[in-house]
Amino acid sequence: MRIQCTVNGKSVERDISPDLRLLDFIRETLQLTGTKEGCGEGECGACTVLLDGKAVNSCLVLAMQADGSVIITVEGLADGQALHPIQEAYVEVGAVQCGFCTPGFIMATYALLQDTPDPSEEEILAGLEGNLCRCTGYSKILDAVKLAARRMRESR
Amino acid sequence: MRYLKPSSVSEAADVLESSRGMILAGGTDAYVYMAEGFCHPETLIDISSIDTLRGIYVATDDREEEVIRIGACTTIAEIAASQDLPTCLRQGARAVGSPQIRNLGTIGGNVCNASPCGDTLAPLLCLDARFVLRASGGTRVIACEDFFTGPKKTVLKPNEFLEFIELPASSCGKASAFRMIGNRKGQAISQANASVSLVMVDGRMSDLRVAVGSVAPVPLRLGKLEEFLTGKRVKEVSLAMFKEPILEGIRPIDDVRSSASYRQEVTVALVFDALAECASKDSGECEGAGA
Amino acid sequence: MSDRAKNFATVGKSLRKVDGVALVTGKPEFVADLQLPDTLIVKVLGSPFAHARIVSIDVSAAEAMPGVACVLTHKNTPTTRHTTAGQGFPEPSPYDTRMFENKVRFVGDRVAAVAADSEEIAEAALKAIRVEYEELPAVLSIDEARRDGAPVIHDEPDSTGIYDVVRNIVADVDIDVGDVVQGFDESDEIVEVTCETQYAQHTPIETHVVLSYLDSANRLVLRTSTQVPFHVRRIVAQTLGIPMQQIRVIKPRIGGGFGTKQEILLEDVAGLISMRTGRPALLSLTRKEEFASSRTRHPMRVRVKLGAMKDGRLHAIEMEATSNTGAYGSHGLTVLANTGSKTLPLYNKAPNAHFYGQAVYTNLPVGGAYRGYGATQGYFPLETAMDEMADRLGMDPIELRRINHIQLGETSPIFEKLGEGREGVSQTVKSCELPRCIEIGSERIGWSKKRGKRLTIGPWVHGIGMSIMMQGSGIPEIDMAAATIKMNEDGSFNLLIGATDLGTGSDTILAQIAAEVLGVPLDKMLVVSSDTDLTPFDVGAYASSTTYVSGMAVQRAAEKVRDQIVRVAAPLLDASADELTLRDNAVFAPAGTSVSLARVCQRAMYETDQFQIGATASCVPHESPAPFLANFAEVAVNRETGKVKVVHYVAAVDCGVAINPQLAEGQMEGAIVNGIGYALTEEMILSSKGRVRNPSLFDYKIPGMLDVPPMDIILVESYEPTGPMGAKSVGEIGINGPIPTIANAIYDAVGIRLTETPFTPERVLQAMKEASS
Repeated sequence: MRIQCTVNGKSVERDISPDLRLLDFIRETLQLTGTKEGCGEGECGACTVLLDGKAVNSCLVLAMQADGSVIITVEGLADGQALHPIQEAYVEVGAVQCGFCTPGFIMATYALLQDTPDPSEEEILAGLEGNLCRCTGYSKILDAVKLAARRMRESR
Repeated sequence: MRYLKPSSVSEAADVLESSRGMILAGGTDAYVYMAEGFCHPETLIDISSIDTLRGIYVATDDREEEVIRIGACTTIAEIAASQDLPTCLRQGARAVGSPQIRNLGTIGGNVCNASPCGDTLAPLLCLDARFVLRASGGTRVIACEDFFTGPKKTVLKPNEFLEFIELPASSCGKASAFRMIGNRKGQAISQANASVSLVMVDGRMSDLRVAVGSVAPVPLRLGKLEEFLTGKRVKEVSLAMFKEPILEGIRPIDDVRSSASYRQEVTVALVFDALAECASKDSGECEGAGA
Repeated sequence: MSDRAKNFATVGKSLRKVDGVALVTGKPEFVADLQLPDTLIVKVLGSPFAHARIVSIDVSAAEAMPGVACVLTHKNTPTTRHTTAGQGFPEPSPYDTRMFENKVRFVGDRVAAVAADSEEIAEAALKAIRVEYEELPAVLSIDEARRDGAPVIHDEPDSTGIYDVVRNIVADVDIDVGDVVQGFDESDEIVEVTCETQYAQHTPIETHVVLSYLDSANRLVLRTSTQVPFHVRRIVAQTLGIPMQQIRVIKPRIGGGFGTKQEILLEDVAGLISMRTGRPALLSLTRKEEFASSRTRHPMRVRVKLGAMKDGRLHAIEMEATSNTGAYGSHGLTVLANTGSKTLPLYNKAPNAHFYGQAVYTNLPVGGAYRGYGATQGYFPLETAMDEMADRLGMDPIELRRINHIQLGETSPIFEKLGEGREGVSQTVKSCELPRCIEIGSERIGWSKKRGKRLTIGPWVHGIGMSIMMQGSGIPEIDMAAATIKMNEDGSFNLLIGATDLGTGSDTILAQIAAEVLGVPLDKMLVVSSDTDLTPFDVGAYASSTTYVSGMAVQRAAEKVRDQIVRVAAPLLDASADELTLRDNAVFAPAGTSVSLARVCQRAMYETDQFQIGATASCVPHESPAPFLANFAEVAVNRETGKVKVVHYVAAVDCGVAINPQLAEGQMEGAIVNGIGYALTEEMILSSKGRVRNPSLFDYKIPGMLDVPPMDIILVESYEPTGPMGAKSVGEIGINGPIPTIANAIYDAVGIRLTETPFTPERVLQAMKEASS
């Protein structure tokens, strides 16, 4: 089947099988391997991407359901060599250990701050409750989101 | 496998009639079942982009009464965020999964999946919700209390799908609250949940509905408890009084999340908690649905 | 920043990880991110039975399927017995595993493997394999295992290293100091506690995965998510019966390990497939397989008996541990031994001590290495018994710890008697800030204000608990690490280390150590790690060894390089080499003149007496200096639902000098949250037939963002003279704290002693009811 969509700002058109998951479309068809598979059942959030502006688990979406949609993955955030403030904040406060959950967290953070530019701590925790991390204990991730939010507000 | 994306409800109904395929909306349950091998649909009918299946608005139902109508493909996130819906339903929606799941999952999916621990079910039950089911031959309307027949079982026929959920306007004016207990605060799956709606008349509880989920094969209304509480003031009622009337009708199961007896035990506390919130507010913020 | 750290230029600073940018931009750094053409997807068929013989296995239908390249079973694979445990040779684990066998010993044990063009074809092929099983009676508990007439799980004639095959005992340990029987007789007060810890899984977000392929010289390359690349190379060579030089193992970025990747689980299968087909092979475990068929925590039953005098001095300690090692014995002996070796020396004042126990086979999921490695299971009853003893003696629990814990300059006979499987190594504590850890931590949690007060808010009752612990840093006389540094003519250096970064940041801190010695900023240090062709040997990331052992190898290599640099620079500065110092990318003479490192290297590379400035150095540690930790927790217990919330957690840790404080904190935070999950919500639940009922993140609850309490991590610095820059280790110790600390806090809140983890709301409610009746 033919899928047509926009990925990280670029128009994309491919022939795919109807049962291909969006996650596999991104990783294998488009070779964007930043998005990860951690569980395949929507529990860990490592596969989080933005689909028409909303954070979703790409392991639970059929690629064909994203036909005509706008998709953003972690590879779409940096501006050339310049990191997005969210990426910068995660590195700066030490919120990245093994880094496997990181792209999913960054995309969930992006979605959160897009909707709620000045989130309370409670709103941050709620916004990221769909992402699991086993390395960091979450503490520095929370710090990173607060830092990113502040910087993004200040730069407006 | 065939993938079809009808653009209208009538097209969807016709395609369902001829293919007897599987309805796909958010996919959050469907995809997991397919991945696990629980089902192998030959045809997937994606109804998620049919405009008329999304939205929350005032309408008139088949009995000429005013209702709040919810399109089946309205996402759980949209339900949780809507100021036009009763508190218990918003709280139930808020308890589902994670932001990512709520962005994808639909209320129609939560209802038709009919998992005993679906968080929107007890709220819908205590709001006297009615479900509009669509087939190519026409529609029929089923009350929530008649819709669920067992765990993951409903009265939906293979050629039917859920089009709308309708809440009587009177339900939407009541005070309501939802409570659940899960094993971890985030992404918890209910070990038990409870939803209550009521109207306070001169400080006494009336027009009560008490519904519980995850403690029986289907969401259950606790009729005896509703009778017992009607006309009483909240302050007259204590946790200890509940145990007798509440336990009737509850048939919880032992599973990996918790045992039957524990579920019974905490259901009591959850109902009491939800009741207290309902009674205390005429308006005002409802806190998150964790216990 | 500590006073000591102020004198360092790079060490002691919270510098950014060297791989940070690559990870936040989603660069293809992980095993499965490398996509090679023609790759075969490998799927494994797991046993449906806990114990069975394979009477017949017919793969003809599978093999005949279009797109299937290779099917492996016991009939067409090497029969060499080995261990899957990634440990130094000779491994202290039994050689009880065959690649494929005609017997299966747990639900999910390997039966066959299929390699096909796609996942769909591989799965269809698995379904087409016909297996006839003869089901055998299964052993489903440690008590059943040792009974007379119990089924013998490892009845094969060619396994070695098993203590008692007939009674299913993998290992037996028994050491003592003094005479505990007499000791208990002489004691004024006796406390005995038996605790049971549950099956838990590491759940790294990236499951086990390997990509194998043949390079252009037809050597087998294993690109694998492992903590032990060099052990992988050796054990795969042994298992497949091929020369070790035919194999190259590369560890790229990996998505967490925590011990489950200290195991050679998949590489032999993928490797053999690549060798037979000539094609790359990708084998990754599904999350379900990760739960049931990889490795787990060893569930244990541990009994601790303490005898103390009225004044609080411990007079006798006895610890008896029975460990369920599952169907195979990897890490069985060593985790068992560690249960005693990392706990009992903490209370060295007791003149009488006895540790004994057994690791037992069952037809259940296989225990392996898991952060804490036995100490986690041992500290639960030990610190619970101490808490109970304090209660009996009418003493503050902190005071009881203060009187009895090991101090700077002291030793314990346990160090020598009990190591990791073999005897240990005698050592004296050369750095210890435990008293300050206790002081600072107790102040921070508000110990004196809150203990015993049972603050009640609605149904929630609050309580405070504490515990202390020690761990080790590496395995003395056994672990070895090496590092190579070579210089480039622009003043940068390549640092080649065998050490394995699991996300812990070891690439970064090891580079910091080298940069410190050579007087350069961190970005002048270009790290290549964990490639058996390019980097020198390192045992791998386990036993909290990387900072202490690999760090010392790096420090030594850097010092050798520094010596070469000053020799080359001396004539340029008209000074003698031993007067010169390195800082700010240059070599300085006492007079203040300097020459850049680039200039020095250019001279050595192109001008006079040319040679490559570079060196390799190794380290074998002679002791295992302990980090020390004092944990404090405030919990709230809901009297109606039994739910336990951690309201505040304080961990004051002495890890020596923290090479990178931010990364050290990160280790503590991650370990603590994992420990909280182990204490409150995580449990693999087994059916009556030995099957894991909840092999999914849906039903196996690990902590999420909403479950994390406010945590205070306090690094209390000490200086370890035997460690690089004064460092010890910090990787494991944090995970041991939550269980006993939370248990003791629950006791303070509602007066119940829980002895079984996890402390689910149901268990807590049940215990409260029993206590009140």
